[in-house]
Amino acid sequence: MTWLLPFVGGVGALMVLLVLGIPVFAAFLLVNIAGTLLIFGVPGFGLFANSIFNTATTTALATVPLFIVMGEILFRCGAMDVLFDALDRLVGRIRGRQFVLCILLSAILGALSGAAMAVAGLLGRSLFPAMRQRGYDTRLAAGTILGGAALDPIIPPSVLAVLISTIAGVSTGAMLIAGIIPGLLLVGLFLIYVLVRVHFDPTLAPEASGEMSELRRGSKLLAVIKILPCSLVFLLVMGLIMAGVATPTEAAATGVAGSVLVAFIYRGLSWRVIAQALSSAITISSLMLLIMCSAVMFSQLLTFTGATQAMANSVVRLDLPAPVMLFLMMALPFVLFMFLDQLAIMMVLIPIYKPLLTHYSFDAIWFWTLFLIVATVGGLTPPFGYILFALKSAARDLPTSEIYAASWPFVWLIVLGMVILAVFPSMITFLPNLMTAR
Amino acid sequence: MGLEVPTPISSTAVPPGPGISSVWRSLASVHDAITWASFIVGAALVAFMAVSVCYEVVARYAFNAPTSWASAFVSYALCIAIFVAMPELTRTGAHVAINLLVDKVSSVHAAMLARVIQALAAVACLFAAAICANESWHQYIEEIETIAVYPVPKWLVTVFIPYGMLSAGIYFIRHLCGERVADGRGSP
Repeated sequence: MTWLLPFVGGVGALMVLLVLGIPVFAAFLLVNIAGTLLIFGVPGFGLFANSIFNTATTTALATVPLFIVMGEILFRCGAMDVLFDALDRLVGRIRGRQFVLCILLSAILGALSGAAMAVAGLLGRSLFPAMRQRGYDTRLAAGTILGGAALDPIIPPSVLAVLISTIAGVSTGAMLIAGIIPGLLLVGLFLIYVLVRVHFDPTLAPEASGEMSELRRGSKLLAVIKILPCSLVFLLVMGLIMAGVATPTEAAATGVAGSVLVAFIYRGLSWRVIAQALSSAITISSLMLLIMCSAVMFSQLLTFTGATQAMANSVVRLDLPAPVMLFLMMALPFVLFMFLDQLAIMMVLIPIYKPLLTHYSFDAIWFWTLFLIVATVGGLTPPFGYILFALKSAARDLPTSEIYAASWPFVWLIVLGMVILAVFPSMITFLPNLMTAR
Repeated sequence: MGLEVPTPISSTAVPPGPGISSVWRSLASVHDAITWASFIVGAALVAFMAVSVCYEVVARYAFNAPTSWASAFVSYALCIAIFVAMPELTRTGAHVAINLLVDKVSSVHAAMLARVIQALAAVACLFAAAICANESWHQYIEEIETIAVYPVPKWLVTVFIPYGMLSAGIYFIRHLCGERVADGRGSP
């Protein structure tokens, strides 16, 4: 049990520092410096410096700023207005059409940017007031925005998927592709949920005919044509990865070029848009990658002390059935993500989970995709889900308690989706396997 | 946040007072100017990465003439970009943190806690800066090169790590000394 002391000491110190409110990267640095000094002494500082350098020069991580630039350009060039207008024409005469529109728009935005907070903020400012004005149920409207935004890190391109695959050491391309069917499944579940609720309680949404009179009339064909350029960016990025033609980094860079072209087509291209996109990209990616660079040494120290393997061995000795183990391995981060930073939890849990996957013969892409969904749910669960705060900042008059209540049905819908994906693993592995087969 | 002209930091962020000399304010202004310039370099490096990788894709697939430098230079650019942007993130208080405790305690205790946080973060950054600077110096003396198809002296890339850590550490100390965070974004 020589591993227990460094494990409990390291994780305990890290948790104390995090709860105190120290920036996540600085908390990892403090624990790593102390750990390196205790385990290796001063000569170990070379390892410390090299772990930061090696992480920061991981070419696969260049995908992170590139995906962010791509999404930011599309967000800022007016593509969102075009998409909204086109979808508004495409969604038919059904009661609760704004709920449907919101979920579909979120899914498409997820396929273009993957920034859940940005989508929640955007829809909270634009669609949410319009829905309330038209007499839509406030709680369900807020829920569709929250649930829709939560889809974004699942539907590729997803920065979170890139980070998880890099930490877990699995194919980034496969992880990105694996998110497509789960994303569509969740879109389906959300749509069924809102339509069933509106069917049984018509007071949740106004008459469709009343709404149609307010709609901009126009050709559906024109709407499809308007969506085409954005769809091409998605198909370009995912198609290149799936066809095995380009690495995720190359596909992301091609996506940046595609987004510049789309911005030009939509007449939204300007130096200001490019500069703002680059500024956002370096800010967001630096924040995330700094945590990664600072945290990698922590998992290396856990491995060196034997804590990771010993923890895995102890869990294996419990001899729990695979479904129970899967449930526990998902339940733990589900609870932790409610209160703590996603990346910090991932950096601690993923190295501990890796040996267990081999023992239980879990498919790595299947497991980490489920983990990705759990991480996404963390942004939606009260009291600290970051998507909740994004909606709150966009709709300030909406009580926090109302936002919390709005989020829960969608949390449980995602959990239901996870159960389906756990029972039918091929829903996740089908597309990545197609890619591997090539 | 766009690439607008930075706010006149020294006149707003550093309140004049008996404890802060004009020399200190001048140094703070220089520090802020370097921070802003390095943040712009970080943004430019992201553009460089996008252009380099696109060039590589075209060169490889259209002309069957892959470059020897693109992959290595993108990884170097990523490392440099992360750490040259770091000081600006610290200046604006943008780092990710869990505000669970700070939000729960009274304002007096929150202020005390903030000082403890800034002190600990400063220690972490300055210690890491010293370790990484020592490593970069060692690489310079030993003439160590990066392991890549297109190797370069390793210190040319790693030297930006201690720069980012040192500058961020100084910002934490400046915040500790009573300077307010330049932009009220706070932790995401």
